Amino acid sequence: MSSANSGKRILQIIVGILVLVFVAAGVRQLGYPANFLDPYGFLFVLMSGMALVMISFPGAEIRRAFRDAASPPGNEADIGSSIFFWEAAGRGFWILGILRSILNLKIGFVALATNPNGLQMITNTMAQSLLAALYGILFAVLCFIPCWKLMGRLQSRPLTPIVGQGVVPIESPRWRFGTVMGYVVFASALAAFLISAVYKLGMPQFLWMGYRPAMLVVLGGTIALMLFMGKAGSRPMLSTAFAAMGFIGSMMGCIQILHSMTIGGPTGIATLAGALEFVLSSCFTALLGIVILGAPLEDNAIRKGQVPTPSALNRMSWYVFPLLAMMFTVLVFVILTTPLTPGPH
Amino acid sequence: MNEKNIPGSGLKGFLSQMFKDDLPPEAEARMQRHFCRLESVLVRAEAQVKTHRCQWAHIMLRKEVMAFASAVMLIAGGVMHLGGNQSVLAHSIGRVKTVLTVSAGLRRATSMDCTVLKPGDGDAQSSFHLRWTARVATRVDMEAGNRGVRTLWIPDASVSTALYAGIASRPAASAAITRDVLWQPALEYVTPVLLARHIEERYGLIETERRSGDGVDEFLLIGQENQQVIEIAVDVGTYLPLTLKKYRLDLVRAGEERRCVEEVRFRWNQPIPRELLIPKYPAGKKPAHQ
Repeated sequence: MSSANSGKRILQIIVGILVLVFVAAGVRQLGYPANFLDPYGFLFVLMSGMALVMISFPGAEIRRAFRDAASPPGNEADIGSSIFFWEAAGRGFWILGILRSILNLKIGFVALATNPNGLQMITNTMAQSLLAALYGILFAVLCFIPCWKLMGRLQSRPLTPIVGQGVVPIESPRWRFGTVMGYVVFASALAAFLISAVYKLGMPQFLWMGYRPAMLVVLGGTIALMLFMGKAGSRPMLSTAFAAMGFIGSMMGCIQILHSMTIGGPTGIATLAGALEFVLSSCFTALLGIVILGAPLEDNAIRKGQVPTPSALNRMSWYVFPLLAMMFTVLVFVILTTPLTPGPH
Repeated sequence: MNEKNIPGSGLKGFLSQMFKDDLPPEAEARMQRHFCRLESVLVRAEAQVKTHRCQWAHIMLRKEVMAFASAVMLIAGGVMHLGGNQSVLAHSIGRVKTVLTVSAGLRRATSMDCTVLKPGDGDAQSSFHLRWTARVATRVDMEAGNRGVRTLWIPDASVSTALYAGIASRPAASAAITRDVLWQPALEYVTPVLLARHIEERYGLIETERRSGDGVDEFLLIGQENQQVIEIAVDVGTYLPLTLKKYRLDLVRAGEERRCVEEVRFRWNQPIPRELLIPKYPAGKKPAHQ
């Protein structure tokens, strides 16, 4: 039995080495491999992702999740809690990657316009901005692996009566030190990136990143949606409200883009630019809202046992909306680089 | 019951006789605890009623405030956006889009006829007449001072295989042409693609401004290069440049009258006779490198 196992293990190692060799050969054949390095983007996604985990989970739960991922887990309540932790961590990285991509693209566009030789770098700007999304996806997959493993273990376990399990201690609503520290770390990472960009571009007004109209529409709409929903089933729906408003804002921007294409000259281009920015800023504000307000609130409700699992709508706002935001970002880039067709004269 | 009918010295005495304070200490303590609990329950219930009233008032107030705030935010956002209030980012996106659209228009052009005027000191003005047709050639006629007209043909829009045909119609090396100061003003506009590259990479166009009226509907792109201010007037309908003017930056900064150091006038997509673009060699003067 053990010899069969060791044989299987050796086969796995050989297959792994072969895959690596093929990948290396492929990279070598490329000649000029793409530059996949963006150290600042990498650090931002990593630090902010860790900050989000600190915001949503206390240290004991983080330690337990790591322990459960490394060794055979304890009772079902612990496994459930660890599964949720890893899912939340992966979700955070996924959203943050796309958030940083949008931020990169915004700063890249300003750099293109201010730098006399900037237009040569337009495609590079897009590629660099998407690198952060790639890092986010990589980190998310790394976090989802223990989540899936634990889910498998939970399903393979025989059903046992839960005695004394699943009783989640209800904490007082006051802020934990970890939460505060998480917000501080997140704000520091964002501020460090913005300040360095502002310093490079020499544009202090750019510190005001969110385009005000889009920000106001998304925030105002989110508050209105929350008021309309009330306490629907005592389930926090802030992420859903943010995602809905982000999507509505993006759609408004898209309609304006189409409309602007019928107007010629600088007026048309100005309208188009406003629309493109509206799309980007709507997505950015909505993602930021989900990350710093919506998701922690919902995580808290789940941890306290107010709701058993995230709802389908919440999951859609965490996974589908960022994907849509990324698609909108690519669309913005394509529209920007596609020249306007001259009208009849 | 009348107090007078009760024997003894009144009601107090009667009660003290009937309910003597002779409870054992344990029972008394237990009774005391029950009273305390009852009292605390009553106080808590009263406090809860008060708290509920406060919470409701708070929630009502908060909801009203939030509804008002959300309405204000939505209206302000809509008004600001529809009002065309542009931020740094929108302005930058607009600039990039404008430059890309103009350069794409240039790359789509099928023919170009342009005149470059370069005023010099006194009468030393030089002028160049460039005619270009896609996939054929560029012809440059230069007239500088009293030297007469010289013509340069550039087949396939490539300076490296240029033919030099001056008054004496003598072939010359392409390197000599590219180094010749006399031809420099014209070489910048040899093809629309070259001009598009300059617009994208060199001029650093940063401002747009619209001018309309008197049959003119154009917008200006303003940039800088080599201590010169560059103004390109672009046709709103076709996104193709109409004129390009260069001014000395030091004079512009000093607030003096702007003096144009170079002016280029463009005409696009007009038919150019093909024979103009094919050089006519005198007998026995065929270029050696062809």
